[in-house]
Amino acid sequence: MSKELSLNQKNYLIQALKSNIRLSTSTNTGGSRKFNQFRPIDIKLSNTRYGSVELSLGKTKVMVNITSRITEPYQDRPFEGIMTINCEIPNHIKLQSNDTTNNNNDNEDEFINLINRALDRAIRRSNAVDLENLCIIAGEKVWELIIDLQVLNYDGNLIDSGCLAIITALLDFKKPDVTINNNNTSNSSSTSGGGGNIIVHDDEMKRPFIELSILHIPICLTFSLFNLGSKETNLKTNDIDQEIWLLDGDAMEESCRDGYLIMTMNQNHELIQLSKIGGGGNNGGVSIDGQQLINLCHESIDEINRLTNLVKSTVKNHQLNRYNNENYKLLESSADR
Amino acid sequence: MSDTIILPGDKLPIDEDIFTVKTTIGPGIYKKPKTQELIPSAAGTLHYERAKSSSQQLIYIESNSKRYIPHTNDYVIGIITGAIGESYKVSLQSNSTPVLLSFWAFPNASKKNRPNLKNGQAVYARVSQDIPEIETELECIDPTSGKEGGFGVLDESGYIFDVHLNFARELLFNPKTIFLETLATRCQFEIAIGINGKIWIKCGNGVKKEANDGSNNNQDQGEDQEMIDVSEENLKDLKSTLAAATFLTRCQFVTQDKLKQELNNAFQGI
Repeated sequence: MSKELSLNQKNYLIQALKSNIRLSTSTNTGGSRKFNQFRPIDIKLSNTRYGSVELSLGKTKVMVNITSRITEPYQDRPFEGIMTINCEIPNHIKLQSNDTTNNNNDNEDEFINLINRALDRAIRRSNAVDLENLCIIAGEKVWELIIDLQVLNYDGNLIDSGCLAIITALLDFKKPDVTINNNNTSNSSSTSGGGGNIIVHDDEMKRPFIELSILHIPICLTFSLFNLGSKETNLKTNDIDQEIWLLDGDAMEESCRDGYLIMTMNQNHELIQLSKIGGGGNNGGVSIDGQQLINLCHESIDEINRLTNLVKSTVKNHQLNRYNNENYKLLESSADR
Repeated sequence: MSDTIILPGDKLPIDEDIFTVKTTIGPGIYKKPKTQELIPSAAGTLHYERAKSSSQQLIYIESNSKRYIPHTNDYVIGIITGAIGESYKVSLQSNSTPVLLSFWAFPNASKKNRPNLKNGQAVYARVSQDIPEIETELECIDPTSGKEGGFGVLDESGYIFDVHLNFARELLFNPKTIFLETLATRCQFEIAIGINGKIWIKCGNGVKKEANDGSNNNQDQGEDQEMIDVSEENLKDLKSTLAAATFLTRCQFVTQDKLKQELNNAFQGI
């Protein structure tokens, strides 16, 4: 897909949207997508390690790895573990098209920061993971989760695919079991005292690993907004037909949009994040009617449910396959011996 | 010999005495400056042609790639990205070095009569200079007649999409290509094929930009009906053009016996 769009491609995109047609270059089969339709999602989980996910959304491809280590907690939060999300994009991937009017590279850095902030707000700051559960010894030892998101190919909609991949990886991730050995009890005569020693059981055959405590599953939906009329009619009149929103825009649609809306919700019908960002540098982008925005939230519940069930069923099927392949059934107490 | 797959560094199966036999090397063949030895520098299918009089030979390697390197007399589709001095800056491919299109590279162009092109417009041009050490130059003049010859600004009512370089060469240089003949059985189209992997296509009258002052014509019933007819024609041409683009994109990945099936899939519902 060419990142430098000509007037022909922009003209065709706008005219197709006016006729309720999306350009069908994203699907291999004929026919175009609906305005609220996702591209096919393919999730691959690693068989050798926990917390490795490769997610394909059409031609967009992202990879997530979760690693854990034991570290000291922050001074102001001695009872909470630490979770960081790193989003890394290779240099050869151009996120936004080269706008023919301005050639500055600040747009690209701004977009990367925006992806990081959106994912951080959606997952970490919404308490999707119970950080208190990661505490081993208060004030001394806690688990730190490091989530690395690597973009392999870009064809639009990095925020949705990144969020889906991270959530799938968190559901799949398991950390080693830990035993706390309190020195005070066994050596009561010692005056040094101090905290306890911990034993990390990193052999999964002897003691199974422990899943994370996931409190809820946030799902990001990014709507690309188009103003088909002029800017004056958008501000003065309430002609809603001139405003079009697309779900899961690809690279060409992202290059031509006038603004976009990041909406994060979960299956409990809770709104976690709502960010409305301009496309061409103007703050906020296309003006939207408030009632239309609320209707958009309500209409998206079905998609949120579908994606949540997809993530859950993928992780569940993968765990079942791993259970059968590794012959864990023999370890059960009711197994025949 | 044909249909021989060759790798970089292999020994070329040609007449070794390149000083007696006149040898013309094409893409994929590299002549070492120090030893004057010919070696393959690309992986692909070797093409070797020997004249009957046995005094000349032609050798080149056909390989599939997506990155285009300009060569003289190539027909390309470029997108205007800026203006430098007395030339336009044209992008042949994203992330590649831009090329130059002079203001005088149009027929009947002069200092007073210069072309007026905007950023983002597409041009069909011929590569006139491809020296590797300096910037490549394009021309929109037919070198034989000195007139337009099909070059120039491509209409905004057409659609531009990307294909592999191999496929573009097949469409442009094979006069009996089955892909365009199959497409012609379904719809009429105009097409411009660029060797840099870009194709411009338009079915029917293409897509015109609709007038924004449609509300002023609501009073007249006759004009209102006429505008509806124009919109329906516009929509049909839009769908046909997109279907043709989808069909040509799919032709790169399917075998020839499935062309009819792909054509029906692309034009479904039109």
